[in-house]
Amino acid sequence: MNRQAEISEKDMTLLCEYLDDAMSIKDRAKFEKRLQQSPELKQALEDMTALKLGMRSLPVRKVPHQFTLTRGEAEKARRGRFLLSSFGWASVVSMILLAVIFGSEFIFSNFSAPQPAYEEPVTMMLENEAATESVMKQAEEEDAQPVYLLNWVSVGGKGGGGAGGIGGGGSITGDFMVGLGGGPVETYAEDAVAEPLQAEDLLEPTEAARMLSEEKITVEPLIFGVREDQLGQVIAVQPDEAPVPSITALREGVEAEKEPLIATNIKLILAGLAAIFGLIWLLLRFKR
Amino acid sequence: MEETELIKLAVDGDLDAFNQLVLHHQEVAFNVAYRIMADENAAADATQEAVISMYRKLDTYRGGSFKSWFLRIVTNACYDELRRQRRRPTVPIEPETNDGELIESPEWLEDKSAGPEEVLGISELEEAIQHCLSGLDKKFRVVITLVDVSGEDYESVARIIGTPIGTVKSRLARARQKMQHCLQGFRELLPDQFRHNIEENDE
Repeated sequence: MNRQAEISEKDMTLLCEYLDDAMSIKDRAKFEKRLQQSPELKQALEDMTALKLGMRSLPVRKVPHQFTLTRGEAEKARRGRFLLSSFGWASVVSMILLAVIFGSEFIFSNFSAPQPAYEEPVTMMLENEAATESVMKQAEEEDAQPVYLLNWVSVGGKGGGGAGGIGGGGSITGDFMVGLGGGPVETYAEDAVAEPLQAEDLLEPTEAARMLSEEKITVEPLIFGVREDQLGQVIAVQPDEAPVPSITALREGVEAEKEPLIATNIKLILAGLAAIFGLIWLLLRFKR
Repeated sequence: MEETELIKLAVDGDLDAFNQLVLHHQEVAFNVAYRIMADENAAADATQEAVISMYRKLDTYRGGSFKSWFLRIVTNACYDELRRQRRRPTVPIEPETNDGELIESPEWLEDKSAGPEEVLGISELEEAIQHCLSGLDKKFRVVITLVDVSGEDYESVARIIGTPIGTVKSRLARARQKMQHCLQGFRELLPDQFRHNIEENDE
């Protein structure tokens, strides 16, 4: 029966520490007490001491040759070190540049807030190009017929009456609307549709309303963005003539938006350089 | 010249100072490499690689024991050499007959002259210890070599192999236990004290 089997791994570690003088004085005294009480532990210590003596008794081998470096070897070693570090750094720099490029593109494409809101309608417009063009053609055909924008408000009735007037002018339902401040106003759909209406035909402001109007002029409020002295007049007979961007211009805009920050060629070149430098670095390192 | 002065000069690029340091530590380095590699040529290769590597890394030396730093490079060189050997295992020279069959123990390979062991006066005990040492896993082999052959303390070994001191202790205990088991097979070769202990254990 081998007594070593009875010695736990912890005790083996303690034996090593005791033998190699790696114990504190306190621990050493404690362990010595245990050694006196346990013959197995004492035997194991003797075995270990014998082994250590055996290992220490191994003859020192003479070196087969001097390991010093000649000038040439030192120069070669220095050159190798320079090349290794150069390629290593070049590879790291290329990788960092690539990471920065991809990272910034990712951030710009995903976290710039207005872009998705803008892109969607433009894309939709492009998708519905044909429909848009037909609508525009239709609008051109109808261009001959003037479109009227009327102020349908009297000063006295700019509360409920004013609203009623606008509703009556915009719709063709011919509702009867009551102006809270200006009294009842009747409009008929036939009048609005049959022919362009003259403002004075539609509404004759009352005396009281005129008086109120004069009082208000001093304040000069704007009603729906129109000065009071322009009320009841035709202010436009054409639709808004602001230039509509052409489809090609919109497409160019979208393409410009989709174009990456850095050209794909540059990215490919950088990726290639990173791979080449990395491979050379690995080869040099492996060779060493 | 003192070692610190030599180190300073070597870091500044003085090759002679560097070589002085190498001469001072090469024997310990080679012996550690030899015990780990169990082969003189491989140990010489590993030591030379370690010296070149040390020259390249001189600017990374941050003080402390130069010997420990050098031994760390040597053990790493030994690990690299062992890995290389595993990747490219050596093929024994075995001549074939005309039929293509292998000749066992060919006479032409027998060396009638005195073997290198005899020439160098290596004892059988050393052979037995080296045999058992080679049978250990390399992580145990390195620790027991550094402590028992090179005479390093636990802290130095921990620095050399880059592990906590507790790991060094447990590895050393395991390594010594395994060595004792292994050496039981060589009891007739061992000195009296060792043999006596083993025989008592067997009773």
